[in-house]
Parts: sequence; C-alpha cells; structure tokens
Amino acid sequence: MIEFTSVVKRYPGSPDVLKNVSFAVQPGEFVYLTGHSGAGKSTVMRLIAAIERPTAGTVLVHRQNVGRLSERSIPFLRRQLGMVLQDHRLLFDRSVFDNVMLPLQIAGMDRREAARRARAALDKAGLLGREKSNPITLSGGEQQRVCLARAVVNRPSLLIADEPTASLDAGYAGDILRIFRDFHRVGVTVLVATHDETLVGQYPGRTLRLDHGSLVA
Amino acid sequence: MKAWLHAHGEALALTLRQFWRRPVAAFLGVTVIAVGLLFPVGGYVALSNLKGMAGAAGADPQISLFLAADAGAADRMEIERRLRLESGVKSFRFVGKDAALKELQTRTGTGDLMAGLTSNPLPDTLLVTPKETSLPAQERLAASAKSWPKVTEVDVDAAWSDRLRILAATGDLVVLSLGVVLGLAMLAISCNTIGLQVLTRTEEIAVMRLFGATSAYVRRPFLYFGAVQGAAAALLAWAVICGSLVLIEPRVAALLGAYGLAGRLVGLSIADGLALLGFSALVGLLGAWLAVAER
Repeated sequence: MIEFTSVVKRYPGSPDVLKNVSFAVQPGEFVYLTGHSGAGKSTVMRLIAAIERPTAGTVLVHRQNVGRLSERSIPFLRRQLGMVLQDHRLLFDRSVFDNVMLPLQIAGMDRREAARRARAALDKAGLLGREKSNPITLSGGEQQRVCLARAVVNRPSLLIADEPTASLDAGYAGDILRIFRDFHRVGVTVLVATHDETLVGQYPGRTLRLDHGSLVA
Repeated sequence: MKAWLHAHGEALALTLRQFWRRPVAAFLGVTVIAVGLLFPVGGYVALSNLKGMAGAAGADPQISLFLAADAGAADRMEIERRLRLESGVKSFRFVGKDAALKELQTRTGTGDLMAGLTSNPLPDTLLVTPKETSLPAQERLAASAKSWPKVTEVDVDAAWSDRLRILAATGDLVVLSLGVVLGLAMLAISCNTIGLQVLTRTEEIAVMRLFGATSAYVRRPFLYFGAVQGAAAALLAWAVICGSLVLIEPRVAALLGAYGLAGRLVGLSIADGLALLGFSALVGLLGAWLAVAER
C-alpha cells in the first residue's frame, strides 16, 4: 500500500531531512511512525500525500510512483487517501457539516448521497448534533474529530494522520485513537505519525522510528 | 457528461451563494463595471437615435433643379424624362412655385410679409434624390442637369448630409474607442476583484487541493463569478439606459416638436442587449481567467 525505497529528501541549503529511508506498509496494517520533533515524520506524510516529491529514491502509494506522478494525477491520488493534519486545516467560514462534505463535493458525489455519508462520518466521530456549528466554536479535541470525519468521509482504504493528538490532553487523545482503531478494525490501513510515546502502547501496531531523518526501527 | 454538468452546476450554485452572502459587496462590484459599460453603450444608443432623427429630418442628400420662369409643362416633362434616364437618380419630386411659396410661409411664419408680394418670386423646382451620396457623384449629376434647357440653376444640398455623415462616423469612432478602453478597464476591474478573492481564499484553496481538488475544480467558481458579475453589470447598464430613455423622452419630444419633427427614442434592441450581455460576461470571464492564472 505504501512503499518507500531508499528515499532521500533534501531542501536547498539544509541537511537531508530524510536519509535513505526504506519501509513498507501492507494493506490492513496499523503503523505508528514515531520520533522526536524534526525527525522527518511530517516529511514522510507529505511525501505520501504527494505534497512533496522525493529528492532520490522511490515512494509508491497505491502502486503509484509519487516522484513521477504528473500534476494532473496528484488530485486523484489524494482522493484515495484520508488525511488528518496536525494543524487541522478546517475552514471557519462554513459549518462542521460543510467541512466534512468538502472531499465528497470535490469528488463530484451527488449531494444527497454526500450528505448521508457526511452524517455517517460525523456520527462515527461522535459529532452528530454539532453539524451546524462553526468549527471555531468547538474545542481542540472536537476540531480534531471533525478532521477525522472529513478524512474518512470518502471511505479511503488508507488513513494517514500527522500528530493527530499533539494539541490534545490525554483524554481527548485516547478518544481520537479509539476512532482510528475502529476504522482499522473494518480494514482501513492506518499510519499515525506521533512524537507521543505513551500513545503508541495504547493500541497494538507496528512502530517505525525516525531519528534525524534515518529509520532506526 | 453527468459528472461534468454536476461540477458546473455546483460551481454556479457556489457563485450565486457568494453573491447572496455578500450582497452589498457584490452589488458595488457589479455597479463599478456597469458604470464602465454605460459610457460606450449610452454613446451607442445616443448615436443610433441621432442617426434616426437625422434620417427623419431629411438627411438624404438632395439636388434642387430650378426651372426658368417661362418653362411650361412640356419643358418640365422633358426634364423629367431626362431624369428618368439618368442612372444616378434615385427619385425626384416636382414642387410647383405656388406650393413652394405656401411651404415657405408655413416654415418661416412670414405669412403677412409674403402676402404683400405682388407676384410669386419662387421658381418651379424639381427635387432630386441621387442614388450615390458622395459629393463628386452628386456634382456630376448637377453639372449634367445644368446643361438641360429651361434649367436655370442647380443646387447641390450635400453640405448638411455630409456634415452629418462625418459627425456620425466620428461618433461611431468615439463610441468604438470608448468601448475598447472601457472594455480593457472592465477586464482590469474584473481581474483585480477576482484576484483579491483568490488571495482571501488561499487557505480554502490549499485545503481543497489537499483533498484532491483539480486545478479546474479550484478555478471554476472564480470563472463563473467573473462571468456572472459581467452579465449582471450588463443587465444593470441595460436597465439604466432604459430608465434614462423613459425619463428624457418627453423633453426630447418637446425639443423635436420645436423643429417641427416627431420621433420616439429607441433603446437597445433585444439583439443588442443580448450582445452586450454576452460581451460583458465574456470580458468578466477573461478577467477571472487572467486573475486565476496569474495567482
């Protein structure tokens, strides 16, 4: 499902952010990507989502080579992913419901079916009843759950999350992890990047550890 | 095809929602463009009406053939026969000297003065409308007629129609230039308005991109906005022109009446209005395209 082979990522004038990183994530796996701040976790996530391209090596996502993907093909790759971002990236000029609807609208889904799916995703995220609220009125944990609902609404087979619990207290972090677990149990492949080592033990999964851009475990 | 229509329908609905959410800002944007359109369109309507009125006032060039005082009916018939044979003559009309005097009295209001005359000083006249409106062609026809027996004087009345033609051509040029300049201004306004929209929606666009929005998907609502804004501005300009004509029509009618003329002001025809609508929407679309492409 995801395959990194000798991946190097370098920005001009900076040391290598990723140094010869190789790993694979199989369908149905639950994988933690851990490491200290600046270890390169977000870069791995950005490479998977084709936000960045590798300087060297190969990144395969759904058997598509991200490094060689044309600009026109990138949106279609992203539609196959569910993404939860550290900074939420919610739109505060619209309701929770409209935020969750966004990926379905982009995919061109019929509005009625999209609305049904959005309500189902909000239900799974425990936010049914809050769909008309503006995300800015929600707590950090609730905002993260909106992000989760938005990430899973188009039923992706791969869910990637970059520091999904970074700004949350332990209680909310546990809630978020439980939702990931629920999706994993129905067959969704999950990759969670986190610096929080305590989170890793809460649900069984394989751990990949990054240290200064190199994979150490 | 269904997905394509759905995508366009969504983009149009989004655009209309934007207008609905910020009605004042949308109205002001439309007004600025409509004002820009008013100048060339108003000029075009004014010029069309002027041409119409000039036509009604007899703007066709005319050549007057004054007959000798002793010209009889046979002489007149001979001249009329020659006129029929002339290829450059479109039509002609005989005005007898009595009718001419009566018309002069009516036009100038000098009935009493004319009544004092012992005899009618006016000659019989043949008013000729030439086929060709150019001055050299009329002068050729006049020179030929002058050599005919019992024709004492030939007057080519081309000055008025020539002046009017030049005026109309200048007016056309001014309207066209205004149209081009203000079309460019409209393009700039549209480009700027939509450019600002793109800037204020940078975050939204970034999020849309993250969730798989294609360039076309991102671009589409802005293009619709430009086109709808342009079309709305054209409708507003059209409405203002119609309203203005209704307001000034009684005054223009009074003015024409003072010159013994009658006529109605004519606004934009449906075809002209639709052309304006299409042009304005197209310029708006182009402005939006430039704004989106630039950013």
